[in-house]
Amino acid sequence: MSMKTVAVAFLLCVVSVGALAGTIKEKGMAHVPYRGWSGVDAKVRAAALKKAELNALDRYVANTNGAEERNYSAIRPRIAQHISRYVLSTSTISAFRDKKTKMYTLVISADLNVYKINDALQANSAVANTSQSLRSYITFIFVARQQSRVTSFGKQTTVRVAATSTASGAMQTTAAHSGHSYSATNHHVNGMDTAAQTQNQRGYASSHHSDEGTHTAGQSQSHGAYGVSSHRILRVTGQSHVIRRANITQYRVRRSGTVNDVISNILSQAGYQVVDAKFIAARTHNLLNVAAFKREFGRGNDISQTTLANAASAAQEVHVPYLAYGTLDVGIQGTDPTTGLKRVYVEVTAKVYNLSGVFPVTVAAVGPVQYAGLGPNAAVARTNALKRAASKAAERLVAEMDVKGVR
Amino acid sequence: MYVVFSKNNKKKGLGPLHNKTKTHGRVRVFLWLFSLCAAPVYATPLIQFAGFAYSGAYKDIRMAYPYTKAINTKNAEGVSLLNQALNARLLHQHFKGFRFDDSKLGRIHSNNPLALAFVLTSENVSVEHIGSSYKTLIILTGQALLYNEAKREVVVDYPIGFQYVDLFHTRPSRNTLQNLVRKLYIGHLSANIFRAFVKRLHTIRLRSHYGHTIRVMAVHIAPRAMVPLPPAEKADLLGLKSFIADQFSADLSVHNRIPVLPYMEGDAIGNVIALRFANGGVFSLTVPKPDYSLILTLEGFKKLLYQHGGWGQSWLYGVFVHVKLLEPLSGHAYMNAMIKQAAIKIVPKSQTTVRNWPAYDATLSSLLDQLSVAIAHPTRHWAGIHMGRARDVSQLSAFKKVARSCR
Repeated sequence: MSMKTVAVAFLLCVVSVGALAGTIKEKGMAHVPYRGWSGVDAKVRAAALKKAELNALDRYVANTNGAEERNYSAIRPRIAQHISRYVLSTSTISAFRDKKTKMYTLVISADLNVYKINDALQANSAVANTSQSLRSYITFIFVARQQSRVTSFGKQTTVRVAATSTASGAMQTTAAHSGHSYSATNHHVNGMDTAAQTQNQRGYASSHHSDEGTHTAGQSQSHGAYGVSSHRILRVTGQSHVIRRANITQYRVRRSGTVNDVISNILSQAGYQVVDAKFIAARTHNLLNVAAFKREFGRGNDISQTTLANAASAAQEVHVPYLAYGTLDVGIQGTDPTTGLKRVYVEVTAKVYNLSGVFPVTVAAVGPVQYAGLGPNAAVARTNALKRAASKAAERLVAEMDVKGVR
Repeated sequence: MYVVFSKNNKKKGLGPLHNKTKTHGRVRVFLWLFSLCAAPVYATPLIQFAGFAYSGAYKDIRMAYPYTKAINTKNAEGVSLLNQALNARLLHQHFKGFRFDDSKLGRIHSNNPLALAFVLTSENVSVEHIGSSYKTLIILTGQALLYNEAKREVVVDYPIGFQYVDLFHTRPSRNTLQNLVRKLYIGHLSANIFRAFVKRLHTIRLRSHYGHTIRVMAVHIAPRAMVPLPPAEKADLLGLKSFIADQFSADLSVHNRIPVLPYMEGDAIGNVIALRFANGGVFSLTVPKPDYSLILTLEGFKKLLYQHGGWGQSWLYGVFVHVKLLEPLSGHAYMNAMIKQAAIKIVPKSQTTVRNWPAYDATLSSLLDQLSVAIAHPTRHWAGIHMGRARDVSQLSAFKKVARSCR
C-alpha cells in the first residue's frame, strides 16, 4: 500500500466531508486601485480578493434583519481577521481593470459557512451574552380569529328631483321630491324609472342623462326632457348622490395551539425564559384571563382596557417583566392565480410590554402585516398562513428586543 | 501519514516485519472507513423523477398550452397520459451522469432532495396558407429542470427546443392539430419531444458543485420592430419575448454544453416560478440570481428585393438583434453588439399573397441558432458578416470564456 494512495484517499475524503457543510452562495465585489503600467500585481489581486470576501459577508448579513446587522457591525473587524472560517471557497466571476481610473475590479462568488456566521452573530446578541439565571421571563397571549361571514353591499343612489310640466292644462306640476332612493340596478340611462311611469305624473331624472347633463362623482345635476305620455313633456332637474356601505364581517375565534407552539419555540430559541400564560392565570386566580381575550377579539377589533390591564397586573404580580400580546386575523380563502392552490391571508399585529416600571412600556411592536399561506385545501392554507404569520411576527419582535437590549 | 515504530514493540522482540503488517492492516481499515465518507463524491448521483409539469401561472395554463392540456387526460388510476409516456421512456434507460430512483418513479419522497422534471415552457401551433397548401408549424419548448425538493430551489436547467413542420392540402381542423400534437408526445414518429428530452438527459453530467450561472434576464422589442409584427404577435408580446428567450437559451445550452437558468419575465414574482405538475402537485421554485445576465433586444426587420425575373421574385428578409452579456454586480459587459441575419425567400410568380412574418420568424430562429454556434466556435469571418466588423470576434471569444465557466 503506497503512501501516495493513502494521501489521495485522505484528500478525497476531506473534499467529500467539506461538501457536506451548510453553505450559501453570495457575490462579493471589490475595487482596488493599482499603480504602474505593467498591469495588476499579485499584491493588488490578493487585497481585492480579501475585500471581495468581506463584501460577500456584508451582502449576506444585509439580507438579514437590523438586529443581526448591528451585531455584525460590532464583530466585523474580528470576522475580517479570520475570514477563512466564514468563507469556505471562492470563484472569480469577473476581473477587469480600468486603465483610465487605474482601478482593478473583482467580482467573486463565495461559499459562506452559514452556521458559523449565524453562531457568531447570535453569540453577540444581548440575551446570548446574559447568563441563564439573569435572563428575563416573558409570557405571551396571541389570539386568532377567522372571518366566518362577510356581507357586502352595492352602491345606493339617492335622487332628488324637481319636476315641472311645460304643457298647460291636464298636467300637474309636481313639487320637489326628495329622499327617493333606489339601487343602482334600477337606474336607467336616458330613461324614465319604472316607478315614475306608474306614478304617471312625476318625472325622474337619470343621473346619467346625456342630453344636457354634466355628471360628477357623488353628485350630479342633470337636465333633461322626458316624455310622460305621448303628448306631455316634462322638464326635470335633479341631484343625485351615491352611498357606499362598508362590509359587515362576522368572526369565529380559532384555537391558537399552533400559533402558541411557533411563538414559544422562537422566543425560547432566542434565549428568553418563556412562561405559559395559563400558569400565570392559575397563580393569579384568573386575573390574566385568556378566555376574555378570545371573547373580546371575537366580537370586535380591540381588547378592552380592563382585560389588558389585568393581564399586565397579573404578570407584574408573579414578577414576569415582559408580556407579549398579539392578534391574528384570518381572511376568507381564495385561489392563488399563479399556482391554483387555495390561498389564505393572515394579518398579524403584536407588541411586547416592559412591565418592570410604573407603567407598561412598549419595547417592540410589529404590524399590522399580512402574510399568505398556500395549500391544496383551505385548512392547509390557513394553517400555513397562521404559522408563517406567527413565526415572522415573533422573529421581528425578538430582533427589536435585541436591539433594545432586552435580555 | 507516517508510521512510527513503537519502542515498546521493539522491546517485546517483535521484528519490524510484524509491525509493518499490523500497520498495513490498520491503514487498510482506516482507508476503508474514509472511503465510506468519500462514496458520495464518486457514486453516480441518485435523483427522483418528478414528472411532467407546466411552467407559468395557473390561470394562464389552459390558454398557454391548449393542445397539450387537452390531450393530457388522466387514466382510471389518476395518472396523466404524458406522465405515463415519460415514465415508460425513462424506465429502461441508463444515464451516465445520474441514476433515477426507480423505486418511486414519479413520486417525490424526502430521502433524496434532488428531483428532475420535464417542464413545458411554451406551445405554439400555427397554420399558414401557402398557395394550395397549408403549412403547419408546431413549436414546443421545454426544460430538463433539476431542483432541490427540500429547499424548493432550481439547481440547474437544460432547455429543450423542438419544432415540427407539416403540410396539408386542406386546412387542418382542431382535432387534426390535436392528434398531431399527441403524436409529438406519445407517437412513434422520429419527431418526438420526449425523445429529444431523453437524448438531452444522456448528455447531462450532474455534479455536486456547479460553475457559474447564466440566464436571459430580459427581452426587449424596439418600437420599429413592432411594425412588421402580425396582429397575433402584437397582442401577445410576452409570448414573443418568451419564445426569443427560450429559443436562445436552448440553442446556447445545446451548442455550448452548459445549463441555462429559466427565463422568467411575466411568469414570476420575486425570482420564483410556479410549476404545476400533471399529477396535480404544485411547486413554487426559487430561481437563484444568475452570475451572468443576458439582455436581448429585437431591434428591427428589413425586407429587400434580391432578384426578380420571369419566374418570380426573391426577397431578402433581415433581422437585427442586439445582444448584451454582462456581469450584473459590476455592470461589466462581455458582449454588447448588434447581430444581423438574413435569409432569402423565393416567391414564385404563381403566389399572389406573401406573408412576411413567417420569413422573419424563421430568420430570427436562424439568427439565434447561428449566434450560439458562433459563440462556441468564434471566427473572424462570422463576426465580419454578422456583426459588421471582424475584430468583434473578441466579443464572441469573451462570451465563449464566460460560457465555459458555466460548465
